[in-house]
Amino acid sequence: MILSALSLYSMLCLAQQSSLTLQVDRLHVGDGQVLKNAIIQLENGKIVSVEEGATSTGALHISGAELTPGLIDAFSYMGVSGQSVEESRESTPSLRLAHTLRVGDPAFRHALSQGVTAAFLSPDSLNVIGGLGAVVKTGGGTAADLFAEEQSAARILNPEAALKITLGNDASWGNFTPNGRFTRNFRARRPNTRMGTVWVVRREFYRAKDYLAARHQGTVAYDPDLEVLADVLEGKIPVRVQARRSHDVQTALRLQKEFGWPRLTIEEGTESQDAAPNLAAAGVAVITGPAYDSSQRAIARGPSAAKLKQLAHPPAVCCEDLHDIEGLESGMEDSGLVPVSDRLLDWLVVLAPRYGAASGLNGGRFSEGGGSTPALPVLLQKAGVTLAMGSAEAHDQPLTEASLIYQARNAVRWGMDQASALAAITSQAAQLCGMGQRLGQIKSGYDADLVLWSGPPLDSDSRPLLVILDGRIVVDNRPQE
Amino acid sequence: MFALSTFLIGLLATAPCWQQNTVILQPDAVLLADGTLQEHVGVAIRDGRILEIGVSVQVSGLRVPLQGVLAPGMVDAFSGRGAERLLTEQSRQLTPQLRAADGLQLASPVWESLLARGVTAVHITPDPTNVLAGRGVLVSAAGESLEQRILLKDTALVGSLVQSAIHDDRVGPSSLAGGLELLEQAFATAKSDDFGPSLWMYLENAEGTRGVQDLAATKGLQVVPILMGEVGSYGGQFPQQIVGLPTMGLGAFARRAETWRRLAKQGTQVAFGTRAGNQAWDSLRTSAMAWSRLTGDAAGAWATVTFNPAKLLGMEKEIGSIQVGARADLVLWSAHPLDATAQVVSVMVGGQTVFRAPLGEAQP
Repeated sequence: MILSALSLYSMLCLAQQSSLTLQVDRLHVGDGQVLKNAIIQLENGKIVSVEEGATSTGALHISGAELTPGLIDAFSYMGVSGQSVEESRESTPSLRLAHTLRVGDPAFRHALSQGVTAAFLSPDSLNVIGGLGAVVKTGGGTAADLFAEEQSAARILNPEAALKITLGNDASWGNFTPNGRFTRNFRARRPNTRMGTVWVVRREFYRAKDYLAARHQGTVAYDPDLEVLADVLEGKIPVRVQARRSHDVQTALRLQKEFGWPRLTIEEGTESQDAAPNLAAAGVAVITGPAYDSSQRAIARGPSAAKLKQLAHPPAVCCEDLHDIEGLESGMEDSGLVPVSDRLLDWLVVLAPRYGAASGLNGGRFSEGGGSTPALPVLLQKAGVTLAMGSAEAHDQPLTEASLIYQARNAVRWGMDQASALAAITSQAAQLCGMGQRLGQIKSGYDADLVLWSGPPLDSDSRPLLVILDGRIVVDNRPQE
Repeated sequence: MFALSTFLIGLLATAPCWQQNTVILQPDAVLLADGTLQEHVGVAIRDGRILEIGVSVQVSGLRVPLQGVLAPGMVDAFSGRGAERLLTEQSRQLTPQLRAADGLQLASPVWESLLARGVTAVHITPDPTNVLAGRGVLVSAAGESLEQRILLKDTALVGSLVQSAIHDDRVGPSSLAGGLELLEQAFATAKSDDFGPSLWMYLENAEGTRGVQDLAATKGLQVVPILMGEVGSYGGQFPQQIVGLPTMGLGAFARRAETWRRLAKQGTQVAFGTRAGNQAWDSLRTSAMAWSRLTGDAAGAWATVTFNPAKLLGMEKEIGSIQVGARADLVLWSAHPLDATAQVVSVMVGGQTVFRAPLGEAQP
């Protein structure tokens, strides 16, 4: 008797977990469509049916709440530590981030509580060719921590989602010219410049072309690195190029032309609005990096280190940023900044603490964010460039200001329409992460990853009431009755 | 009685012709292989091995009554004691061909001190500063010749993914990713018997553990994890498994108590070792004592320094327990060895008495 009661109870529990019916007033499919009074049935972690204009008794319903697909962070460093980038060589294409991913990182929990249910995790930017990024769900994995209160950890969906290549400052960070006793350090090497960085990319891909030819002839000696690059040339693995300055974006496009990368996406693209026509012509998508309201972070509120230098010592023949200097100079008196010597400034930049596990030197986004604008998403959209959004290391701390939904809200604030902004963090993001058949939309057959918001999702007052992952409620912020 | 027993065991050692014959030790109690303490049991020994155990031993031989508890000698699961200080080759990161046996110091006074604390076998591993550091060696704490001292020449390949191995500015790697890549290369180019049955890895986080286990699975290799660093953050990966754990000084127990309790609760068994652990002479026994207090399982706690290390080395039939056919590596304690007041009375290795506490005062 007791046994049968127990088994009945456990069956009920299972039934409760494996199926769920929601009734919502407004449903954002993710591709721009909005359904009213919809009934969604979830079973075994999948969406079974979505019906508009129906009613159901016993369905979970909160009046005024709106449903979106689980958000997808298309560019993130959650659980990515310095342990994930091997710097003794500049080109490490076969390294899989999934191998060294900290699946139990609290960042995943933070992201989940902000409605992010999946993410593309990008290898760190300190190598020229960094390795293979992974697509994960932010929950449903098994934590190894003996003290974890609940079994919450990231779950890897695809360990070979894209190859990361870094152009610009970050890739050559820490390298120096061989001299004297320091030559025994492996950092005494190329590249030290943007030119050197591109040289490494070209060298590796020319080797890969030969390798690919040999692979077709069946005369190849197995090389795990070249194997990955050959797969990239064949289009089996997409390429992500981290490029912040507009000329880095142009370089990426040139490299694509040279090697015929069939699938290229630009990551961060801080100044990519300047290259937007070229991006649109090439059909290359951009995953915009995070924009922050805080002047400490990436948005172009404060002057970059490079500009501070120019301010202290205006060069005789100036450079590309000349047009910006005037405005900055007038702001100098207010900001309390004083011109400092060039040498001191060098030291300040070198000594400045790194602001995150995966972002390179503090100078990284500062010095490369000179031409950035918060209107980047809408500028790209108007130029016809496909885009998704990412929040980089924003979820590493429980800082909601920088979370993914705020990236979309910022974009709306600066002129983007709501449907496109939402698509950029759901369906479009899923598409660019290679998960378009499974994630990012509320349609039957898709994964039951949903977020129920207290109001219109892109209103700055709305917050997640429920986060559902694989059909299970994992975050519950419903008001207590 | 005490004096008599030590005298008689001493007599055994000094009369080699008796070795050929059977000796039956009759202590107050014997700590058997299952961890139970059995009284009125005799242990018959011949040719350096245990011949019979029982209340009424069938074989005939010299009966030696002993006062105290007879227990198996302790086994240090991973250690650097009794070997060169630097047991590593720093010019490169993959040195699987190195053997700890080549860096032994068998004449070191260390061995005498280990015997005095009831340790009869030590598994010496290379330093965990290389990704693949070399092979370990299992050494008996006493014995007349080199052949007798080395119980197992190449125990297992020993590797490491702790900071000292994977943060190398000179030859690399600079990261866990690089360390795993080196391991992958080594696995890819290895012949089937290069690695032996198991790979002992010094680990310190969840990611490294996952990486090694994935790689080893492709080669059908068993990984013996040695858990360093913050064990609590990744110990959940080892339920129902024997793992290596560095010994701790008593002061550190308070900090680790909850971690150890949770490890034991999920069924993890532990083999204590002193490399990178607490270096106090008695740390093996004090760690076992602490494990006993935290888990309330004295039998399981005693196994952490006897049976479990032997099992990890595949030598559970030879050392680490009192059972028929095993080596007669025995320690006579004044009380149960997990009793804080217990002291070593005498030690027998391979059937010969090799240590006797000075009359009336055992080693502190």
